[in-house]
Amino acid sequence: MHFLQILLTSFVFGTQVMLLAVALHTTYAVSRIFQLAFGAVGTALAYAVWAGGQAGFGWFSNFILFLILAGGLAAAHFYLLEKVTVHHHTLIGTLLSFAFGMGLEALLAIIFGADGKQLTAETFAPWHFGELTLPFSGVLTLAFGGVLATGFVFILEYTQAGRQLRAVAENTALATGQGVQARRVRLIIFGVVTLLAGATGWLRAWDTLLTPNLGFNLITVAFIALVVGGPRARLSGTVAAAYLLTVVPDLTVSLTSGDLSTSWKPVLVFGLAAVLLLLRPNGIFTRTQRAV
Amino acid sequence: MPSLTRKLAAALTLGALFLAGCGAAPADTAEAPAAPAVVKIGVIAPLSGDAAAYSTEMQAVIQNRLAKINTPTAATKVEVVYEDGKCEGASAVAAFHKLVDFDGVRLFLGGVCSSETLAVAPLLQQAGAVAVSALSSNPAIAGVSPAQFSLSYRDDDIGKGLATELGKHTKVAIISEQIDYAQGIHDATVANLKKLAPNTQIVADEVFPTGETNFRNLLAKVLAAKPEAVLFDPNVGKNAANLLRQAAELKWNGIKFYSNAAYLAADVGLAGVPNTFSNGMVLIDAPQIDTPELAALQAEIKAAGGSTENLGAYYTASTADGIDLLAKLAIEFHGDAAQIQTALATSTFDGFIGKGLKFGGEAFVQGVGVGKYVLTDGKAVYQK
Repeated sequence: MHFLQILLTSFVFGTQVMLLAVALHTTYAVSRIFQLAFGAVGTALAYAVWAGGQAGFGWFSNFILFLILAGGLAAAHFYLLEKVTVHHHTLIGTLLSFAFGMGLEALLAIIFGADGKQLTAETFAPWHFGELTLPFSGVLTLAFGGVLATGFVFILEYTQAGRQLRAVAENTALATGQGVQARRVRLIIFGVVTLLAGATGWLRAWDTLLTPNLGFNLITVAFIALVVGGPRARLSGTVAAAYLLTVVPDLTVSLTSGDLSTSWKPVLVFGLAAVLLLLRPNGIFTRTQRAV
Repeated sequence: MPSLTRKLAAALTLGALFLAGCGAAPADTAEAPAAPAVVKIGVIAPLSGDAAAYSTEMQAVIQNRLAKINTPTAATKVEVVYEDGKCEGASAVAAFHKLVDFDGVRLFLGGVCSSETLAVAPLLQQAGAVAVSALSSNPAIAGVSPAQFSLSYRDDDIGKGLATELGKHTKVAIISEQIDYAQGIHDATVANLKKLAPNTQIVADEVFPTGETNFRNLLAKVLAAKPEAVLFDPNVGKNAANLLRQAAELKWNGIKFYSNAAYLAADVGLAGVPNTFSNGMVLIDAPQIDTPELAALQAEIKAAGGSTENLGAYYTASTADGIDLLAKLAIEFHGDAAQIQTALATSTFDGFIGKGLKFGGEAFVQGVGVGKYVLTDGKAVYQK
């Protein structure tokens, strides 16, 4: 039962990482840039929800505030990087995105302070499944992750929007030649993914504590999951890597007795990532093709 | 003949200097140095981060005392300069160097967190400075530098108090944060537990890094070890409440809880923690002080719009005594850090903490005990 409790709690964290990893994968597909700012963007949107709550906004007003700020951040992020995307300056783009994220985190610390904040004063009773316990925020995370994963697969595989996205991801020039507006596809993707990052930040803050570096901790593992899963490989690789890199270290630390404390988790994450990259350098579900 | 001109100029310059020196008064008839118009005291404290609330209240206490020290007729004024130590060593060292090198400070009230004090203490003697901390309690502070003093109780006294309580159980678990304050209490508790209650077994001893906000797996691991009692040993701040909030999600079934000062403050944020979970939690911390003088001080601060709810009675008293003592000695010894250090080590003083207090050549003020509190409906109630 202890094993199942750890597995359940780890899955919640794994889902939060998976959501950001999906964000990274999707934007990488259309821009070839690792958009590392999405961790900070999610944190900023969580702070917006908190600030709205402190100001006495109802849930609907808070949601509108969330949407407006998400739109602004998506536009700022997109236009900051569009030029380097078009000119294929991928390293500069990654650095720009990273700098945008760091600057945003620093701004959040200045405006709201570095101390932790509880996202909501309301308390919701945890859910019990026999001997297993899951906080309400964890239930929402798993539900949201499930809905999102299903939704993304459906959109990518069965809708015209998904076909356009895949076309731009595979060959932007050819897609443009076929009448697909690559810039518009990228802008829409940025908007959708910003909402996703915001929802992830909100869920994470509700589940733990709202701090300015909340997103940094998530995006670090999400980025490693993207690299391990294979940035140019299928999304399923990134999703699987996100869960592997969260669940395995959590289980290892929590089920071993002795001196393996929580501080060992980053060591285990990087160690596991290194092993997976050595075994499958092109992605965990991708086999290297023999040259002919 | 340019070289001759240069030699002549040098000789004339040396001669002028010699005559000026002869004209100076002999040392044994020199006038005593005049009292400085302003003495500066530097305060290294966590002005940002989880412990910032303590610093805000310390500033209110210091402002109150400065108003009494800097009277219109005072020959020497005391000026306080604040720098952010961020409750961690590297920032405290940077703050120290800034105060010493740019502000010319040699007297310090600080650090606040033990991490700050432990980082700054080794630098004091070389800088010709002396420091008195009002809040730092890690016993490792003793012996780091003869120029570092602390008006706080010691963590090993807290550890003894916690070990006395934990020793009533046969199986206990400890959850501590990886920070100097919490590790000081952890080490003192474990050491005293071995001495006072050798039959008590520590079935889980978990450490989490500072900044960790998701404790659920760690708590599940501790619960699986089936302890009879759990010691929560985090650093002060909102994350302590987060730890307790997540602990309350699990079913602890009659397990007794103990902790340090982390849950003493009124606004620690226990709103999300059910009283059914936290009621009865035993906290071991500084002794309660309820003298009329301290009550008057706290009332004055409240009337001025400040608060001392996070600091509590003891740390309000130690902060007031710290600034009073440093200011008094700074004025008396004209800011001479070496003489102030000697005076601190050998003198006796009266303050809000108590009467006849002394350091007696040690780093920590002598004769301060500990107090026991019990959480009742989210508030810590002192047990006489």
